[in-house]
Amino acid sequence: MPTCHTTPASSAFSRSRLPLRAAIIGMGKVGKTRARVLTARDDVVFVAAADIDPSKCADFPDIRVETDHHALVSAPDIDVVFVATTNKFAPDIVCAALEHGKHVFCEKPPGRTIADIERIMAAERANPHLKLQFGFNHRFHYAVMEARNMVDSGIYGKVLWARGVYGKMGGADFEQIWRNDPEEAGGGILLDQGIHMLDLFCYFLGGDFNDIQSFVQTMHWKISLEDNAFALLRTPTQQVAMLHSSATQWRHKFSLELCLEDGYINLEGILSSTRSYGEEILVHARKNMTANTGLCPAPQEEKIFFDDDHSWELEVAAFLEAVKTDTPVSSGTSDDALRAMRLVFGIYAARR
Amino acid sequence: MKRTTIVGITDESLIHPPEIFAELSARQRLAEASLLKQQNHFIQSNCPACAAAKREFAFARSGFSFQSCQVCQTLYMSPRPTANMLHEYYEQSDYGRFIQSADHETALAPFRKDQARKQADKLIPLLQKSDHRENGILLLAPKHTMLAEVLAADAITPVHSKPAPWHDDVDPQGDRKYAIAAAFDIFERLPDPGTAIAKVYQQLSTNGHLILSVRSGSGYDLLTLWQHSDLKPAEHMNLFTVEGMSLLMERAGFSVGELSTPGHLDLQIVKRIRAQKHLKLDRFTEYFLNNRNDFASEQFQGFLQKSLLSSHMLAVGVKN
Repeated sequence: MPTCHTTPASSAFSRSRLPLRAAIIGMGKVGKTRARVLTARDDVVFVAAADIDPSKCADFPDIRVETDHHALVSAPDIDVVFVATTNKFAPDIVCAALEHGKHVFCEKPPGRTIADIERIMAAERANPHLKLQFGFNHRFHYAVMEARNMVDSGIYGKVLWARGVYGKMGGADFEQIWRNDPEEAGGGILLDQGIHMLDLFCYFLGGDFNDIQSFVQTMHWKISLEDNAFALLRTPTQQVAMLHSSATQWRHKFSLELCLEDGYINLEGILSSTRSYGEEILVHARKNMTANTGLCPAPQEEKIFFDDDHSWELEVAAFLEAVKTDTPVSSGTSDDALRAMRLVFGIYAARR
Repeated sequence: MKRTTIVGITDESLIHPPEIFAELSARQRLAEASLLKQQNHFIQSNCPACAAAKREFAFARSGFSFQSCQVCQTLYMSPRPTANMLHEYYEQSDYGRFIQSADHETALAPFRKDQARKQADKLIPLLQKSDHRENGILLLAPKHTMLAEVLAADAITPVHSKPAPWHDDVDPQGDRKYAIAAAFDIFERLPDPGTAIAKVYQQLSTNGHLILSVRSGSGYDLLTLWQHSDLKPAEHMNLFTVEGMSLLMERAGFSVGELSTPGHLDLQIVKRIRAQKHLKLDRFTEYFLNNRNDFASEQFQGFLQKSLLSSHMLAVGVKN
């Protein structure tokens, strides 16, 4: 098991140096998305990237390209490092970057095990002057933010329960991709995609779930990791969340229902680059106990359509703001990541 | 940008209670006639949304002339009554007294209570997430409203404007800044919406929100019925298209956060007026109304809402 050094690093970053200089480790699909976000900003310059396949950096001809990330995490002219590698490599890179005084943004999940995030947190504690954020970008979708505002405002009272479905169909090469290689990924669809829904459960229900029941199965694909996970989670205050995370959802689906004391808030669909999860819609209504339409009164619902997805931009903006102003990371903290990982592995452990 | 629609149709009879609708309409026509007697003193107006002078005559309604802006297609009355004339219409006419009477309030109470709850549910989350929530809400309303009562029950005390929607001077407390300004069904009545919205902008905190609803000029019922629509000319002097509303907000300095047309009534209004006036409408509408059921009407109304083609508009502007 690799370990992180926990010696505080002397930061190469001077807060007076703007724009910041950023490097991205891992230039796959997500790394390129981060790169496009960075190049659109004027407070940060995307100066370097590392990938074992340098041709993946071809869209960014003005940057320095390395095939070994070590050259970048130790480079004195880099202030912030974005880690978008496979789960296997992310923890070591995050720890090394922190050790060398870099602020770090790491995609979810924060590794393959709870031990991975715990040792990242040890490195974070040893370098309290550095910022560390994890990529739970769903919190920055407009529908999610609007729902959070509604919940926080108290107009519908406390959240009683949540029901989340997050599923994708896999794809023609699903059995070959690294995400289904236990060595590279550490977990299947639950760790890869279901973790977003678990993070949202924590985001909306607030509490830690201490009672978990689950089925975790490989139902269809010829892979050794799970392609479906069903879980029931309960907090000490008796709030319940129900999850179905699936890689056999033949039409992509994102659905999060929140039942509150005086109404409900449903998130239907979520905008993505391919629009394959449909439109991003928030449906909400106040409960209607007046029987004006028979025995089962249907409340009049308000449906809000969100036409844009700026979640990647807003998430990076929040991280860079924390770096520039030396204020705490507000979303996607290591505590958030640890809580989500504990749920993932709690569900694995509770499987029947 | 976001768009809001409503699922589940409100019956028009809740908004236009039949027990008072006929009487209300008769009194309103008398007040209009009285207003029209002063038309030699009406004033010309450019487009209230984009200020463009280029226009073409749209239609006359009860003696009032409506123009169509050639830039943003907003429909507007020109020439139009002055603020003083409107004061007389709303406050001193028989009609004005009737709409403030207990009978009228009682007849509309079920709808207004439901509407106020929904408006409050929109305002409270906006206020709670504001960095200046302690500044409260500026409620631009003709008088004490059900909305103010609902907000007060949630421990939110809004501050009213002057008790008349036709005055452009909106603030009762001078230099005070507000987190939110709300103007439900007000801007279509104002003699000078451009001046009013500029004043609202000044009175909002940074990142403050203006939320307003108006009768739309690009809604299905109006575009279908045109001069036969159920306009009350003096109360619908400014019929903003969604494009016009966007321009109005941007001219005042707002960025547009939401433009929606969550109206419920287009099909119901078209059906009612078609029957009352024995109208023969365009081929599509006639076929649809003759051959499709209520479920299809509800689906069609949903399409109108989602496509920003319904007759009631909701807009949110954010102060930059």
